[in-house]
Amino acid sequence: MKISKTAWLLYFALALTASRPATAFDFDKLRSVTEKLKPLAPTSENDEITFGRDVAANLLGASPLVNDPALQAYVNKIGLWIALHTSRPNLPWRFGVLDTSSVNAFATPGGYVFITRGMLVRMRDESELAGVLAHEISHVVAKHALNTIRKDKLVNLASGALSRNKPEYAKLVSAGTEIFARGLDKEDEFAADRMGVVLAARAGYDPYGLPATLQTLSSINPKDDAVSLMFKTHPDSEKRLELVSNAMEGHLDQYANQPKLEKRFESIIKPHISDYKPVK
Amino acid sequence: MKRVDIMLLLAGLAVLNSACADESGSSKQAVTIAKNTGAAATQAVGVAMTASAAAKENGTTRSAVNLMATPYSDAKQAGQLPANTTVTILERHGGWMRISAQGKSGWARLYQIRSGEGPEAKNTGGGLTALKNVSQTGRSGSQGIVATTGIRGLSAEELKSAKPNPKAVESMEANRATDLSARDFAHSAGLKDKDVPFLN
Repeated sequence: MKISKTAWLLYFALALTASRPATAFDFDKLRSVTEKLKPLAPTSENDEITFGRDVAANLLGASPLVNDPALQAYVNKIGLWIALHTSRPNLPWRFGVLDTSSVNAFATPGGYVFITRGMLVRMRDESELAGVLAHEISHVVAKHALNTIRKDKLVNLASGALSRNKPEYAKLVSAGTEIFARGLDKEDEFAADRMGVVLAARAGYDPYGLPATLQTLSSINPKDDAVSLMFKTHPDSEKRLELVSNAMEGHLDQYANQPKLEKRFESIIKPHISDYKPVK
Repeated sequence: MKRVDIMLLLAGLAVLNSACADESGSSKQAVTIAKNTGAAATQAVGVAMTASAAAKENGTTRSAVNLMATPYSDAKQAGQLPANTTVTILERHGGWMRISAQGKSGWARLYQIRSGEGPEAKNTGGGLTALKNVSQTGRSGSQGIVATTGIRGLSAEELKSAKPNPKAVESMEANRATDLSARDFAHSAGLKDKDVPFLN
């Protein structure tokens, strides 16, 4: 009896000392943690999309879209099909063919992806187009551009910081556009190659479409004006080809027999881009 | 029973190996592929061969190339070609292409070969094609990029000084795909989803 009374007292004492301060402590801790985390909260998806659209508007100011709805729709269907195999299938993915002879491809945050006519005409089949779109989609999914702006501009892209009503917004859009002229970190490019080939395989294509395009690119004279911007902003195509091929070996060889869709690609590209003649 | 199976398998491999040893012609090539990837690969490569037979693509070795008997890095060696050798590209398979030159043929990695003939080919090919393309399509773009004096592509300067064109972004909405249309289009061409993990 005496022992149990002491036990009860002990229990109450413990309950009082342990539980009450503990709740108070936990609450404080939670508050301090959330306050610390707040500046690190990621850019909201809506802000990312609006920002990407404004950067895309700048890009389209430098190069118009090919005025061919059927061609644009074709590239949109392939692009979205690949994007559906990423962790961000619900972004408003939009794809466009730019009317320039330059050989290049671009992506802006939020899901705007572009490929140039000059690049399309050098491709042999749909698996190559899929591979290049998958590379660009990978930049968007991994937020490479946003992270570059964060690093370069030392800006805190906390939730709301990238919204249109902030005074520094216009500068950030310029920075986003400048990335096309300066390029991303080369590690981001290698990462997008590795991710892109997997996305192409997931979408059912021969994943060697991207390496095949890199092989084409690495065979173009670097002095050719058509490739000067792309070569300036990307690591050496030969190096990219070697690295991605090595990474694929033993992992993606088994998908090399998946469709390349040579005929479908030709049947759509040929009538829409006159004198379509891939390097064969 | 089990032992018999293994014996049969070994006997089969021995036959295939002997076929590899003296491989030189394209008919034997199909056999060597079958050894590694199965019958499906043979069919696919067969198709690739017919397609490339018509194309006849040339390339150049970037550096000395050790030719492989099959498109695998642990395959038997099938001779060597020195750097800057003009080769005929016979077919492509994954990260490999089968090439022939100087009476030898075998598989080389994609990155070991540059498209085009000889070292001088690098200075002509692509640029002229692109130039021709711009002049023949007659598409010059909103900034009046014309190809009369040469190719004017998208430059860093143009990007930096570009005025935003929000209307063009708006116009992209009309050509967007729906999840359903994208899936239907993929499936209609025989594309099938695969569960593929990311690479390290």
